[in-house]
Amino acid sequence: MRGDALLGTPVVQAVGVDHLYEGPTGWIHALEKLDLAISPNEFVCILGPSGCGKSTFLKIVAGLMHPSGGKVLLNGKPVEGPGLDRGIVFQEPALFAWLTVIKNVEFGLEMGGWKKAAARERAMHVLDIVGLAQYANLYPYQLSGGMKHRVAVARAWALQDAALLLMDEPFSAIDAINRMTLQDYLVQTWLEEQRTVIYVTHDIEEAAYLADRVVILKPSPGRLAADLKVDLPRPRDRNSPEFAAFKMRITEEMRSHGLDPEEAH
Amino acid sequence: MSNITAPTSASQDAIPRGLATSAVLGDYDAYMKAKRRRILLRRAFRGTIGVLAVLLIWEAMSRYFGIQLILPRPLVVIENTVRTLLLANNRWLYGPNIYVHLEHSFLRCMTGFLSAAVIGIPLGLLLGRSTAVREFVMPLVKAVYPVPGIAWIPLSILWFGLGDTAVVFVVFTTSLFPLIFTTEAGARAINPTVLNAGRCFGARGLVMFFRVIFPATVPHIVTGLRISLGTAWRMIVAGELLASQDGIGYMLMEARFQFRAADLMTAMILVSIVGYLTEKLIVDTIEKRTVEKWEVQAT
Repeated sequence: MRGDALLGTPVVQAVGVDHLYEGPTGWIHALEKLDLAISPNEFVCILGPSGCGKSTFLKIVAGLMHPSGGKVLLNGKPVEGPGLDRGIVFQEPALFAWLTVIKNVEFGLEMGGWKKAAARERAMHVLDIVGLAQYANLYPYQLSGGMKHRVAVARAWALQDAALLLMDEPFSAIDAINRMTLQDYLVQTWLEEQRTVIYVTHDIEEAAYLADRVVILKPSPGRLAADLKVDLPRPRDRNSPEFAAFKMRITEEMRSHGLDPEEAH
Repeated sequence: MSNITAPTSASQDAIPRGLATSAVLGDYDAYMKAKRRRILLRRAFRGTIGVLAVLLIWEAMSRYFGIQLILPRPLVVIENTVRTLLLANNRWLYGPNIYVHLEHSFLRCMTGFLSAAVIGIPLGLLLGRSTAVREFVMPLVKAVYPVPGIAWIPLSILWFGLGDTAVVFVVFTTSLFPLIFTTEAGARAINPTVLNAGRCFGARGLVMFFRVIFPATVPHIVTGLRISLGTAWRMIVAGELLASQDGIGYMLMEARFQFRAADLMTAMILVSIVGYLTEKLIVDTIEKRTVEKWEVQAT
């Protein structure tokens, strides 16, 4: 497996990351002295209420933002900017409206210098995994909301050489039933092709269902509250008592840090 | 299924309520075809009524005030237009035949319009996406914009002499601004997450510019081209009135000197027709291949 050579060395290492940005009335302290190390092929959910700096952290790892202080290392090297070594899924699908579904998925591969035929094959394979192969030649506007999100996941997942996938509440705008389907697709894809995933969410159930490890942040300024390992076997059963117990554990952990788990929903 | 409710609510094209079942509505393709034909017929019918109403008022005014010399009756003008197009206008006082005039106007118009597109679109994109370019150039653009196109004519005659270049230059300066402004607004309004997606998926520099920023702005650019082409046709006539020895604008001015209102109106009708056709040919084609394919459902 890809990560074996690096086992032990973290894929992502945040060292004393501090971030401030201009709010409407003053500085907003999004992150304060955040230290975090993420190992190869770990599925990490970053959980917390709004304002805890979780999206900021993801943007910093993606290279879309520079931290005000501290640094983020990617396989030991500081992040300089965005790159094809990281796949990303945003809160909104953010598809390229002028490209067909398959061309959207191929976009990153093409930019990475893949041969046309190879890129097409890889894109088709990933679309097949998310169940959209028959829609390959449609334009994004012809898809439903849930399908657009699946294309967005496929576009990121297609980057075979990206050992790291960043997801910023990708399914939060989707209704509950579709969200469960999308989560299942994601887990299935991840089991097929293991890689490191950082998944930002404010949904306890989602974190418990997806993650190997749940990192809880607390807001103003964003700091680490708790770091929990998830020992539930996959595929997980949302109705099992073990699952309920783990959700309970997250809830209690949040309460003990003065966070309101209801608000986090 | 029974009791299908109208899919496009509050529209007169919707399936009638109540009795609509798939059995009554029949084959979907045939239904859609019939619906499209119905809409086309309705549009043609309503459009014709609008035009007819104006022609009727025109006819009435011409008769009532007895001013056929300066307001010829619509039928006279239409007949004159047809005669002109058939080269059978028996009092032709304007040098070469009408097609030569139209061709020259068309070529000048296209040269001015296309150079405006070549310069205006990239400039608009840069203005919209680069703070530095915006801060350096925007004040200048805004300062020049209020100068009316006509005001450029004397200066361009001074610079280029009476002739094609002067007219083309005037068309260029006036059709440039709508393109700059619409493109700039479009480029500025691109969803930042889509831009971030472009960056994260490996596009940078010129690739970012051509593969993300430009296509994302195309819907605005199409609108800009439409306005700009219309402006070009307006300006071509104004330019030719003053700086040309041929072209449709020259013919207009000559017709006024000769007190030939019917010829004058014929020239106006021809500008309208040619302007409409070029818009259909250029802008509608671009629109069909881009915006309609990407986001607007064809009706």
